[in-house]
Amino acid sequence: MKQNFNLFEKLFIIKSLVAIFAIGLFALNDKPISGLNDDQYDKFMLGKSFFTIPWVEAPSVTTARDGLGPLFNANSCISCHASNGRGVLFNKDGFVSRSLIAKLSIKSNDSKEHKESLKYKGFVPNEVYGGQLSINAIHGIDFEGKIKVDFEELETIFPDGEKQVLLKPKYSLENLNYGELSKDTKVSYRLAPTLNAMGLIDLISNEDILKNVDENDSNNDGISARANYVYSNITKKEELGKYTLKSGVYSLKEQIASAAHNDMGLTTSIFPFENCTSFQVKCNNAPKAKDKIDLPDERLNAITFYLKNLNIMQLHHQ
Amino acid sequence: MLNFGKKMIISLSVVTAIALSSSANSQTTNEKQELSSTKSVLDAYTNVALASYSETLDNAKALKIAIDKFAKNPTQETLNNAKLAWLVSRESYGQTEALRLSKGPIDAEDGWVAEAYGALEGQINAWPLDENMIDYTIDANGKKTSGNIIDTVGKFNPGGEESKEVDVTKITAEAITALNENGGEANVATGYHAIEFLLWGQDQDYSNFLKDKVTKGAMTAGQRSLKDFTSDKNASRRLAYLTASAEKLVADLELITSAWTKEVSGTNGLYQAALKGELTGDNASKNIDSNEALKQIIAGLGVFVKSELANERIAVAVLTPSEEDEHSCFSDNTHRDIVNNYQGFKNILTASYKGQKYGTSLLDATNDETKTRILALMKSIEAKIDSIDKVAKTKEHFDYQIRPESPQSKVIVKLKNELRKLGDEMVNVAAANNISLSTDDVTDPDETKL
Repeated sequence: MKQNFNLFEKLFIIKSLVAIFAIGLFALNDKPISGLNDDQYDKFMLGKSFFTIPWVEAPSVTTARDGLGPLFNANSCISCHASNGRGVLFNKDGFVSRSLIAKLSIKSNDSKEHKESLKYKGFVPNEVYGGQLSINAIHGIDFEGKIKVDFEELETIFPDGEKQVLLKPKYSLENLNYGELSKDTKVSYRLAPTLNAMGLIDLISNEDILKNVDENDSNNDGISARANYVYSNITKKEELGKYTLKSGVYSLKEQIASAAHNDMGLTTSIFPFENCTSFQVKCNNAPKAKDKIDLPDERLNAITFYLKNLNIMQLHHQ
Repeated sequence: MLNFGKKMIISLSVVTAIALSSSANSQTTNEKQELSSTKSVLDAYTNVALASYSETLDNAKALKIAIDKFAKNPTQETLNNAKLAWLVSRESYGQTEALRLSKGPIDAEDGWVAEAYGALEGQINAWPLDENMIDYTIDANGKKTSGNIIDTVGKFNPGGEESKEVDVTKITAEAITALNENGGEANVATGYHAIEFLLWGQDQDYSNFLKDKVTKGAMTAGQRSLKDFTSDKNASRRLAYLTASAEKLVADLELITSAWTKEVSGTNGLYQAALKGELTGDNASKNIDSNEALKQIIAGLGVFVKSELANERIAVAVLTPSEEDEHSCFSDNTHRDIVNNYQGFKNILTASYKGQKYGTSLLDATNDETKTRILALMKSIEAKIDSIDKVAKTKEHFDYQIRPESPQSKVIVKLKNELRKLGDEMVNVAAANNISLSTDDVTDPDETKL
């Protein structure tokens, strides 16, 4: 792995200085917009604190940040979204970064259970592993598996004759501790997205989004734009989706709660259960935090406020 | 790779800064005066830093002596002496913290300064810490926790993210250094707060007593029993941990202090000379442009008082409100952290230490209006800090003062707001010293760690 990383790094640095600058633009930002009053600044700080300080395994002496896992990918938001920027493929030690995650789903068999899953989640999770592969677990529980990244070298010849080797990543899973994945499992690999400007997406009105609906590409611009209506665990009804890939989530708060649940194993009022499947007995029987809700609403709202009030304009000055 | 990008960006901004400063008019008398005043401000700064770190090092050595005595002969008296030495050591260290966040020897993360002095802040004063990793605690269900450094003989894995196993068969300075921040920033194994936890133990109201009402009272800190160091089966490991961490603390502070000594030899004195632009020969390239030096110092002061003290240390504690967000939660010494952190800020701003003035200060350059405004704000801040300090000594510790039902919580809320304002005033202090800063520059440190 390390060797791959070095090759990757070398090529990347030689050929992609521009890209490095571009990545730089997505990081280095954790300041609020100007003009917040003291109470708002407090909320921002509270959100930043819960975004940044790591969570610990339950049960512990701490209570404010107790309840990590049992299964998890990271122990804080910031470890995948450094400075609220996007994730990286490799960490500083040259290993696959935890900000790369594998989403798992299977095809619906039209059973009542699968139909419900489609309605409420938008997909049917793998029966044994759930909807996301957890690369970590608390003491005494097996993690689910790890992600492996290999590279295929593709030689490309430019019109002027210059040859260049491009590296095409190939992802796979290894160390699967709960058995092989069922054959029909689809694995989708995703890198933690930048969180900068996420608050602005919330400001786009449904009207403006729906204006651009063009399912059959009748304007011939090559884009068949579809609005995605999804079930909201907050409003308990279908809403226009705005967040994550394919706009699968309704609001920023819901997306944060979902990330807290899937990435860190934290319970919220929106997802008040642990992220274990019924096949994962040890996971279900793991020690629980004293409070049923690990991340209470006030703090969930504060994280939402924090992300909504990040100073986006500041990025232009970096 | 991100780091690489960062460096590029930073060096570009330095180039811009140099270009801008050299495009000014040719030197006039005024400019010469400015230069000589900058020089004397930097002289005073390095003098305050040396005085501050020298006393900190002396106090850390005294702490080490007290801990060694305790380890040799663990009695209630030697334990009390070790605790007292820890409390004294915090008085001087707290004041050095205003020297952080300025790309200086204590925490510069890249460049020659980091190479020479090792960015040791995280080894010295990392916080908040997951004490669970070091020694037993009483968990939320009233049970003793296990699987920590003290009770593990052999290989210990701190857990968390990408943690690496460390052999703790023998607890040494090397072993705990390797465990520090291994697996995550809360996995703190070294420094003042690790020593604090070993000496005091868990403060029983640490579990969120707002809800569970488990508390030993408003004036009671951690109550580790002497038996933990005498008859308990892990007693000798606890003592070994204490001596190893004291040894390391002294070594780390020796390295930091060496950056500020007057004689330049190797890395000794190298930073203070570079800051004043006095290096020659091979070292000349290490000299820091005087404008850049002032900018780092003033921005660092603003970020420290606003982001670190007001926000991370006070706002989060009073907002959560949770004892785990108070700075010295085992010894209940947080009120002194606040007193000394603020005092350190004042020391740098006024170029003084322990009432002695060390030369021209940053505040000296401000006009009457600005100075009056800043001094009035500081007076108001000092009254609030005094109140927190007094109440902590007489009625209730800081962990009780942050509870919403305590009248002190309002004082704390106002204090943090005023400290933020004081941080913003650093923009005006910078302007008076011919340095251009914006409120953004004093708002948050760049905490990117990839």
